[in-house]
Formats: sequence, C-alpha cells, structure tokens
Amino acid sequence: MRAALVALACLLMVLLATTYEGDSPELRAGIMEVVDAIEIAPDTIATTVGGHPELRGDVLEEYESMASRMRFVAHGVGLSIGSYDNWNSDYLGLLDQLMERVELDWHSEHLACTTVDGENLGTMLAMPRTRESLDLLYERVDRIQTRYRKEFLLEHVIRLLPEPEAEFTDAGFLNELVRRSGCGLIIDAYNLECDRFNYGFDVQGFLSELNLDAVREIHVAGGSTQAGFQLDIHSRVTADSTLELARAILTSTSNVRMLTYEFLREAIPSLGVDAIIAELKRIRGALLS
Amino acid sequence: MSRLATQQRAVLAMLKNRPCDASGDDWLMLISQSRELVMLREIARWWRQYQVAGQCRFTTLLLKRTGRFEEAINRYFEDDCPSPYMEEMARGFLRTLGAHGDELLRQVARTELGLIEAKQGRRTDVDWDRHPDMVFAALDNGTEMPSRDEHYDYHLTIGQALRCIRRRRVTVKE
Repeated sequence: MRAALVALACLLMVLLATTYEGDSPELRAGIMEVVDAIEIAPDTIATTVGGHPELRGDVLEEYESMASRMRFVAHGVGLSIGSYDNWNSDYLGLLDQLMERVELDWHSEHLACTTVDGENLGTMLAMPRTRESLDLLYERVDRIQTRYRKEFLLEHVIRLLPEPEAEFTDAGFLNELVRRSGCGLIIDAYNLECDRFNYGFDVQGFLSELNLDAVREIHVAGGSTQAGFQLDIHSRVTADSTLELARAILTSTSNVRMLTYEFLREAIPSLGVDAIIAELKRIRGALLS
Repeated sequence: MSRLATQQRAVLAMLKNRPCDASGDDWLMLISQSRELVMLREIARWWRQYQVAGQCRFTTLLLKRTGRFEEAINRYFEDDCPSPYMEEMARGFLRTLGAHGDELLRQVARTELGLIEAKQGRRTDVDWDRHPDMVFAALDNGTEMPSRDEHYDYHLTIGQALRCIRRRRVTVKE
C-alpha cells in the first residue's frame, strides 16, 4: 500500500510538457491551459544574422510572456555531440542566448551525429556503442556540464542503419555514459517502438538493464511507417502502445520529472490545434492523473 | 584516422551519393548495399524538400510547376554544404538559384531571397522582364504564367517597402 502511494505521489510530481516554437498564439493559448512546461528547441527558433545563428527575439518574447505560468527545458537537435571531428559550437551560442532570457530546468541533446567535417547530414546518426564513442562523449558531456552548471540529459535516437560492431549493449552503453559523466537520460518511448518495429529491438530487455534512476524525462510522440520502416517523424498523436510503454517506464522509477509530447511545427496544420490540445489532455489523463 | 571518423565520413559520402571506397570494410560494404541506407537518404531528402518548400514558397511552386524541384534540391544538397539552420539553408538555396540560367527562375529566387533579407533590414534590387506581381499571382493561383513583356522591364526594390518601377525597354537596332 505504501509503495503504491509513493508511486502515485511520484506520478503527481511529473510535469507535462510539449513543444512550442512560437508564431502560433492559438496554440500557445491552448497548451498553456494544459501543460506545465515547454520544450524549446533552440535550433528551430534560430535565424541567421551575418552568417551566424541567433535566436529570434520575437519568439523569446513569447517565452518571456509565458514565464509566470510555465517552466522551460531546452532540447537541442544540432549540437552533434557525437561527430568525430567537432561539435557544432554555434549551437552552444544559441543555448547561451536562451539561458540569458529564459530560466531552464535543464537542457538536453540527442545522442547522435548530425554533421561530419562541418557538413550537415540532414539526418541523425546513432553512435556506435564503442569505447571510442564513449571517450569522445564523456569528454564533451563534461565540457558542457562545466560550462553551464545545469543538469544535462541525453536522448537515444532511433537506429536506421545496420549496426557496426558494438562493445556494449544499448543499455550498457548508456549506463556507462551516465556512470562516467553524471549526465541524465531522456527515454523516448516512441523511438523504442520504432526500433522494435524496424529491427526487433528488445525493449523490455533494454529497460530491465538500463539504469532507470538516471531517467529524468520521457518523450512520447506519434509517427508513420514508410517502405516498411517506422519513422521518428513526429507528425501524429501518440498510439496507445506508446503511452503504455511510457507508463511502464514512469512506474519503474521515481526520478522522472517530465513527460513531453513532441510534435513537429510542420505537423501543426495537419494535426490541428484542437487535436494537439485534446492529445495533451488525453496524455495527462492517461499517465499523470 | 579513427574508426569513428572512417565510419562517419563514409556515411556522409554515401548519403550524398559521393564516391566512397567501402572495400575491405565489412560494415561499410553492408550499409552501402542496404535498404536502410536508401531509406535514410529518402528521409534526408524528405526533410530538405519540406524545409525548402516552407521557406522558399514561390521558388518551390515554380520549380514544381516545371518539374525541376527534386532535381534542384538533390543537386543543392549533394554538391553544396547547406547550413543546418533552416533560414540560412533557404538563403543558400535561393542564392544558388539566383545565378541559374533560367531567367524567370533567377528572378523569382532573387526576389524571394530579397524578402528574407528585408526582414533583417537589407535592401535588394531585382530586375524583371515581366511584371513580378503577375508572376507571383500566377504561382499562387496556379494560373498561366505571364510571358516576357515585349515593351517593358520592371525594377523591383525590396526593403522596408516594396517598390516596382516600369521602364520602357530600349532596343538597339543594328
């Protein structure tokens, strides 16, 4: 009975968050009635001035106008923390600008490579699970944590290419990264489902091996299948199976602080503002009530 | 070169359809022939198309109308080094097309680039061989494109305001 009460109390402390990238007063008004926090992707609210990216002032003003009622986290796309040569230091410039204007609970990135030799891949490549990757990631996570003195999380990405030889299991790789660097984790329930669909990833085995105490945030989303692949293009509402998986993770650890429904700005016209609001209410009702 | 460097550089080359020597590396051989690589290329292409269409609406409409959209996107992303930032990527795409041999495409791309630059207070001048309003209306409505004006050129200035001056074309008789 006591354990159940503790689990319930933990669920009640989990914040509901969603994506908001500005430019939609209707969406902003709607989500502010439903969520507790906003996920900001600095890359997607950047413009370029003199060849360098800068955050759009009008969108920052929108966030500032929401600050009395909302909490914020930053979730990057373009740091490319896993590039062999270098990460994208312009992204850190954006993060600096964001942190000057908006108080963040934490910030996060994808555990991936998006640029190679300075060239944009146009997609995200998962990291090979090797000591070489781990050493590179550890050093960079350490630099980020030293620079910002704020909790930093990493999110696993879906794997589309066949894997190179690995020295760790999927969970073992993340556990070792957490152990060495002290970073936290985001688990994306929909990404796990994509991996299960695409190549039979053992989700239960992964979760039972993973250090779930490091998980601070859970992402949920919906996407589509194409040519036999389930894609992590967040364009739809969540499937019941995704919410069930998120629930299983939520109830397995008491350290999760946020549940985030992600959707692409490009998907807003097809999803519709009303459907997004209804989806957020559904998620809250299903997982956080 | 480290193993990670070899792998990432090879995948970059494969995604961009550039030569890549995968011989002697089982993993590179495997992915070079995989349906997953085809899918990854497709995803990257889809994203690019979506981003360009969102940022460069009229140029996209013109390219699609003339069946050149996919080719233009593929060429830009395979040959150039586009910025990861959407707006800068769009600028780069429009700059490239601003030097295209097709005069109408060049005029539309330069104008659309001018509209982006105007947001940052920069002025752009574009010379047209037909009335730009009629071109943009035709693109917007999917109606017939006006042909080159036989008598006039149009000088469009894009800045804090849009201004278009019509000038009688001077033809040199031999």
